[in-house]
Amino acid sequence: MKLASRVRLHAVGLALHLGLFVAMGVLVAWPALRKVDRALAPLQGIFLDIADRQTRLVNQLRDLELHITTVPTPVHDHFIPPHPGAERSLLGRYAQVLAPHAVTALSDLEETFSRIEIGIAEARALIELGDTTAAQAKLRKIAQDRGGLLEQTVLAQALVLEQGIMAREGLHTATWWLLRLALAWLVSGVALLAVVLYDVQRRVLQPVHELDVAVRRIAEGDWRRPVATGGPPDELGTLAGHFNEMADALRRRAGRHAQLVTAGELLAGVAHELNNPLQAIRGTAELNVAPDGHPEDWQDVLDQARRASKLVQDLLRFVRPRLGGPERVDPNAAVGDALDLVRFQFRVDGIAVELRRQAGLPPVYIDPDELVGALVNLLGNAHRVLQTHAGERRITIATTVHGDRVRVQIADSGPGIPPDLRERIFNPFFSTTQGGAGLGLAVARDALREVGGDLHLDATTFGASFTIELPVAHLGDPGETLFTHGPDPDSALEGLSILVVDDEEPIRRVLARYLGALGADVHIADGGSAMAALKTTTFDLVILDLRMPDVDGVDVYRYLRRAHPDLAGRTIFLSGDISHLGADLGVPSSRILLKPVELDRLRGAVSEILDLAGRTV
Amino acid sequence: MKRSPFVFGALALTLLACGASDTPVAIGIALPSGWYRAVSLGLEEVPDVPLELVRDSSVAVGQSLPGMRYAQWLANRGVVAVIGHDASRPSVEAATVYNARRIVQIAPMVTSRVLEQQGPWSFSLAPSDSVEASFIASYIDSLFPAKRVAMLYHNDEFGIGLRDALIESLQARNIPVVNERFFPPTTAPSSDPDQISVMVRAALLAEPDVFVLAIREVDTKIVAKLLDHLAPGIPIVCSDASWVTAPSPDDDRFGALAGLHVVRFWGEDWGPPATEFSQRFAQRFGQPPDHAEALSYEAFMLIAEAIRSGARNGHQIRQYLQRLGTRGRDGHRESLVVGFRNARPWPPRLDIGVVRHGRLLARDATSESADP
Repeated sequence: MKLASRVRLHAVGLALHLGLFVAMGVLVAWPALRKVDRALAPLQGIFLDIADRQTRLVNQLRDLELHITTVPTPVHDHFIPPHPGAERSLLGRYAQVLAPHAVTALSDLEETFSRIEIGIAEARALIELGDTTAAQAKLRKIAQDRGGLLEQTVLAQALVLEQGIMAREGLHTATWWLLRLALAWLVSGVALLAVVLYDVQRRVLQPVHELDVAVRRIAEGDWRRPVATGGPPDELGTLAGHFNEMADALRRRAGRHAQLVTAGELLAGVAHELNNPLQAIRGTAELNVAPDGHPEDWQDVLDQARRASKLVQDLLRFVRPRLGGPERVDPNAAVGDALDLVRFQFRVDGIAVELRRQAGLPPVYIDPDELVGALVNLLGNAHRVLQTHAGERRITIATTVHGDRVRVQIADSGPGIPPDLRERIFNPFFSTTQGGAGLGLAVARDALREVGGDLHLDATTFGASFTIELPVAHLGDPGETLFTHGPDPDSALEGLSILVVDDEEPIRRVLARYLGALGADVHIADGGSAMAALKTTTFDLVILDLRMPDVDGVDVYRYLRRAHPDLAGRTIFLSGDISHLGADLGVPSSRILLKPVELDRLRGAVSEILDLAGRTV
Repeated sequence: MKRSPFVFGALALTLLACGASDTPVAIGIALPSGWYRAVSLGLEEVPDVPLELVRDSSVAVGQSLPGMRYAQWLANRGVVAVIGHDASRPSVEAATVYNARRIVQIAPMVTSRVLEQQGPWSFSLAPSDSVEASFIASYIDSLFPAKRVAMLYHNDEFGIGLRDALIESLQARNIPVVNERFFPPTTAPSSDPDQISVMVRAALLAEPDVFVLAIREVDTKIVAKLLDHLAPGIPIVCSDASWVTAPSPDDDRFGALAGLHVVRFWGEDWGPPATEFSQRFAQRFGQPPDHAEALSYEAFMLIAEAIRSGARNGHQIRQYLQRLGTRGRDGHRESLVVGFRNARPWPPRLDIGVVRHGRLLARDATSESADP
């Protein structure tokens, strides 16, 4: 049964219950009350009729007596008798509604009334005939009857009154029946209400509760148990079915998401494995770019290695969101990073990119990954549009500064956005492409707005144009990171004792050669041997790889903090895997350099950290 | 097949009805013995009609309390219709019982309009008091030159109803009622002759030209004799209650009754059916019927016809009578149609008969009628 039908059934049931008892009340009480009414209704009439007739007789008698005493001479015109007022007998009016003994009393009273009335009429006639003596004798006889009349009147009225009192019994019966009926109605009403509430609990509240529990379970990540659908095929059953379908869809989507995450994690591992040889290649190339060799070849090796390492880092940054938070970011650099990620696809699909970057842009204050993500999203949208566009395929990227705001405008030469969709494109889950999640623009705009920026669609007549606005970073903004300075050309590392800890021999060797060439006394070790070296030798600086088998960099750093706290403050960390950087590793994130790192940058970092530690290089 | 219970139910009801058709229908009789003779005559004439009469001849049905209790007794005996009672007051009083118990009442001679106010189960065959009063006023106005009327009536529904209507009708003709006197109700025992004498003599003080009597027969005879002595030759016009039956040979009032003008609701000279009925009645009982007996016979025959036509309960008999009856402009009963055996439509009639040789005969060849 449908829920609406069930609700109607409940309403009809309750209405019938009420109606049934009202009808029963009427059926039970009505006859009893009607009986009481019939018994009581004539009582007033009887009293009034008796009193009226008696009053008229008394008045006529008084007039007659007065006439005899004051006007002895009859004037018959004055004696046309008034209407006697007995057009209907008392018996005819009330006998049917009175008890038998009251009827008898009323009949006797009626006879007495008639006798007195005819007596008065006869006395009048005698007076008219001049026989006052006979008239007076007649009046005396009437006076005797009046005594009997009073007695009969009292008796009749008492009997009538008794009938009224007896009628009270009927009233009591009706009241008692109504009371019992009301009690029955209350009891059955409570029972019916309990049934209705039970049904509502079972058919409505319980399924809703199950849905609520299922929603919470899914929110907590438990996809295993859908909502039970074995109940009645009502609206809530249908809703449960739809909910289960939705849960299945979400589960499948979550599975795909998990696959992507796994892919990202795999990519991180692969990147680590790739960064290490790249570090070695880059270092070797840098060291061998010398005038006496074939510098062109080594320069090519170096450029390609730089390019490969940058691609890997950009890709990792995109697929592995980090928890670094906002920092000062060069907008032009962010645009370059984003372009690097999509440049290949643009080239494949013949999409020209026109880049107009204003030189000397001030930094903006934002999480660089989110800025790159927003730019990649906009570029990706433009790519999808232009991919199938028959006309010119061009994307223009322009960076400008207006007052204290930096703008990045991305415009394409595609068909543009229809007017009816312009208001909706920033809505979550709105997508114009098959299979699109519809979250990209919404997420990007939210991220930009969080740091005081914005993303909006420009009003254009040609193609589509989006503009990112970001506030210029101020000096007081937090997030200034270390190792942003370039190498000091005058700095040398002579006299410094540096421990390079890495599990990759080529990396250790390249770094040792580089630092040694700058005059440092370089010791190399892997995770396991680093501990021993630290116990026996005093170092000015440690360059420590974070990810190593067996004893990793975090373990070594813990040892340093415990055994050589000063040296722990002069430790530079290297990592080829940024996937773990979001977690709290227990190392200062500001001192982490990502592999592959340029050797000159490493040199700058060494100088910087020694300056902070108050050590002279 | 779903209809089978209904089919069996209908069959059972039909069988029940067939079985019930042979069950006599109980009819209550609340009439004086004289009037009952006409009913018994009718009973002999319809042996094919399944009815039985319920009657207790020992009860004075013309009195108030006995009449009421007799009505309740009849109702308790299960009668579906009652013929009676005789005069207006006992009929009106008993009508409260019959209407409450849904029993058809046909009062043959009641003129009081109060009867119809008791409910839809009460009928009368006689013209109403307003019709009768109008007819009497017209009669006086057309036949007598003098225009001073004195009136004697009973102090009850019959007398007062006729008195009020007559005063209204006479006033419309500029004929004054110079004096009026009332007697005890018809339900009371017979009036004291001395008392009647006082009333008549007092009325004569107003020097009336005509006397109108709305009193019963026994009182009429006393008044007639008094007037014959006190005001010889004064015209006396009587209502229907004064039908004068043939006096006994030793009735010394016989001479005084001669010349009385009496309203008739029926006359043996009213055509062949009336004559034939009168002959049958006289043959059966040795004397001709009066109009009360004729209308009692008619009331019985109406019920017999109703039963013969299929009526088996009070409701069906009432429907039968309502189809025959006529009703006035205000929906109240004027009179039931008088059918006489063959249920021939016959509007209520009345005329004036004159007492001649101890019998109430048509005043002349031309009877008057009144259309209600």
